[in-house]
Amino acid sequence: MNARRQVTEHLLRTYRPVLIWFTGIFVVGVVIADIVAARVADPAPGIWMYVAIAFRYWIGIIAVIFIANNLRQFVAVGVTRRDFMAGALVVGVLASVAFAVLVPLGHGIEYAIHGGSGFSAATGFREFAVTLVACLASFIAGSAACSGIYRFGAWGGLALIIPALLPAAATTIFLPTDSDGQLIAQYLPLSLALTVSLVATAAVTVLSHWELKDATIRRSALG
Amino acid sequence: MFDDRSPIYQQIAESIKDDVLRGTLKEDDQVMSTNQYAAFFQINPATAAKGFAQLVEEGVLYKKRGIGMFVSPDARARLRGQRQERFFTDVVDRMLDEARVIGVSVEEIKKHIDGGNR
Amino acid sequence: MISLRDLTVRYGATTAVESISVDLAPGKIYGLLGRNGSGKTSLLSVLSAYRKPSSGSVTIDGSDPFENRALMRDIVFVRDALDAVEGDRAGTLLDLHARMRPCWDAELAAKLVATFELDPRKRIGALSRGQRSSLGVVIGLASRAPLTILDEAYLGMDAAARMAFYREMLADYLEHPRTIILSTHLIQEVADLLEEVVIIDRGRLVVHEDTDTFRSRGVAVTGAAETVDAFAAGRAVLAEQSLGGTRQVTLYGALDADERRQAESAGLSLSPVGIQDLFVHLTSPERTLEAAR
Repeated sequence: MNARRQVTEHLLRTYRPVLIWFTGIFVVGVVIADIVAARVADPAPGIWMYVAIAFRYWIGIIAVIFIANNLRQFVAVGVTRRDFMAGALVVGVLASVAFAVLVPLGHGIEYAIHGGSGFSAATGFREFAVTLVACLASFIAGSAACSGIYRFGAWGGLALIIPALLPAAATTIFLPTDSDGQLIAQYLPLSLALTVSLVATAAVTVLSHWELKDATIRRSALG
Repeated sequence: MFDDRSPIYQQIAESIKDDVLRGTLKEDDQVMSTNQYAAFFQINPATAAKGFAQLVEEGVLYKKRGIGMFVSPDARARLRGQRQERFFTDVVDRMLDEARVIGVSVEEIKKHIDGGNR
Repeated sequence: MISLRDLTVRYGATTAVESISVDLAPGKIYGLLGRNGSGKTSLLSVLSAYRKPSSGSVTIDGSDPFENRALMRDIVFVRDALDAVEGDRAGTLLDLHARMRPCWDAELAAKLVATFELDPRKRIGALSRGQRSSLGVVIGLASRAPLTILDEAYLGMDAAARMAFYREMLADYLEHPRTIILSTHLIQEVADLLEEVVIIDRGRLVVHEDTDTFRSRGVAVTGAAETVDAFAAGRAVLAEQSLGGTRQVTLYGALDADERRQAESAGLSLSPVGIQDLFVHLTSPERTLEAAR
C-alpha cells in the first residue's frame, strides 16, 4: 500500500477517537441545551450554529497538530515530506466534508426539535457549501502557519503567517454567518465568495507544501 | 578474549594456532565458521574472516567449498617446526638477556633445569 | 555505495560539518566516532534525508536520498530524541514501523521487546531514558533497513542493556548483512564489532580506515627525553608527557620493523596504545588536525 494512504489511515486511526468523542459531547450538549431552551423560551433560540462554527477552528488546530506532532514521526518511518503532506491533506478534506455534512444535519434536526419550519434543502446545501469551504480554508491556514514556523523558525514563520491566514481571512470576510447560520453581509454573490475562498485556499496549499518540502526534521515538536 | 593493542585478526590466527599446537584442534577437524566465530567472540565477521584467510594462506587451514574450513593434516607439525625455530631466539635468548641483567649465571639456570623444580 | 562529497552543514554562523568527503561500501558495520558536538548527528541527518546539506552532496547508489521515496523507505535513522509522538504507546509506534518498513521482522521486534523488558502499552513520554533508547534499538534493528543508522543509541542504557544491544545487533547482522552506522564515543565497547571507523572532529574528517589497521596506528615511546625527542622528530605526535628526565610521546602511524629495531637499540621502549586512548588523543581539544596528518 502506498505511503500517502498509510499516512491518511494512521492519522485517522489516531485522531478519530478524539474527534468522535469531542463531536459526540458537543452534539449531546447542544441537544440538552436545545431541549432546555425550548421549555424556557418562545420562540426557542438556536444553539447549534453557535457551536458548529467552532468546528472550522478545530480543523485548523488539527492541521497544526499534524505537522508539529506527526511529520517527524513519518519521516522517521521513511515517508517523504510530500507524501506525508498529501496524506494529511486527505484527512483534512475528509474531516471538512464530515463537518460540512454534520452542520446542516444538526441545524435541520434543531429546527425539527423546536418545531420550526423554514429549513429548506437549499438552506442545508448552502450551509454545507459554506462550512466545507470554511473548514478547508481553516485546515490550510493552520497547516501553512505551522509549516512556516517549522521551516523558518519563530521569526521567519511569523512573517509568513500573514499569507498563511489568507484563506481564513477570505472566508471570514466573504462568508460571514450569524448565529443562525445566515450570511450576514454579502460583498460578493455566494458562488463568487466561495470561489474566491477556494482559490485563496489552493494558493496557500501550494505555499504550505513549498515551505515544508525542504524542511529540516526537528528534534521535538517545533523546537 | 582479545586485547585492543594489536590487530584482532592476528590474535584470532594466533589463538587457533595455539589450539592446533595443543591438540585441541586435530588434523582435518572442522573449525568454526566465520559467523559462528564472530558471534561467539562478539567480533565483526570481516575481522574473523581475515584471521581465517591468513591461516589458509599459511597452510594451517584448508577450505572445502560449501562446507567450511578444516585443519590441514600437516598443520601441527609445521607450526611446531616454526615455533621451535623461534624458541631459541624468542624464549631462550631473551631469558639469557634477562639473566645477565639481573646477575643470574648460566650455571644456576642449568642447575634449576636439572633439579627438575617443576 | 554511500558517497559524501564536500559535505558541509552550517547553522547560522556555526559550521557543524565541514567539507567531508568519504565513501562507504555497502554491507559493513561502521563506527562514526567523534566527541560531543563534533558534527556526527548533523552528518547522519543529511545521510538519512532529515535535512539538506548547506553545500556538497550525499548520494546512495548514485541518488540523493532527500525526499527520495524509494531510498527513504530503506533508511532507518534512530536518533537519541526518538522521533515519535510522546502520547502514543510504544506498541503503536512499533505497529506503525511494522506497516511502513518493507523488511520489518515482527518476530525479532517481539524478541527484542522482551530482551529489553519494554512494556508496549506504556506511553512513549513515560519511558525512562534507557527504555527510550531500547525502543529506538528495537526499531532500528527490526526495521532491517538496508541502511541502518543508530545515533548514540545506547544513551541511558545500563551496561547489561548495552551488551544486549551489541549482541543482538551482531547476531542480526550476521544473518542479514546490511550497512549499519553506529555513532558513539564509547569506542572501547564496540570497537570489535566495527569493520571500519570514521572519526570526525570539529566537523572535519580525521580518520577513515579499517578498525584493525587503526588499532595498530598508535605507539607510545618512552625513554630519555633527548632520545625520545630525536626519535619523534618529524613524526605525528599526539600527546607527550615528561617526568624528570623521562619522556613519553604517543605517536600516530604504525612503525615498521626497522623503525622498531632502531628505537629499541636506542634504548627506547615501545608500547601499543589502546583504541580508546588513540581516539581521545586524536580528538583532544588542544590538538590541531593538521598535526595528525
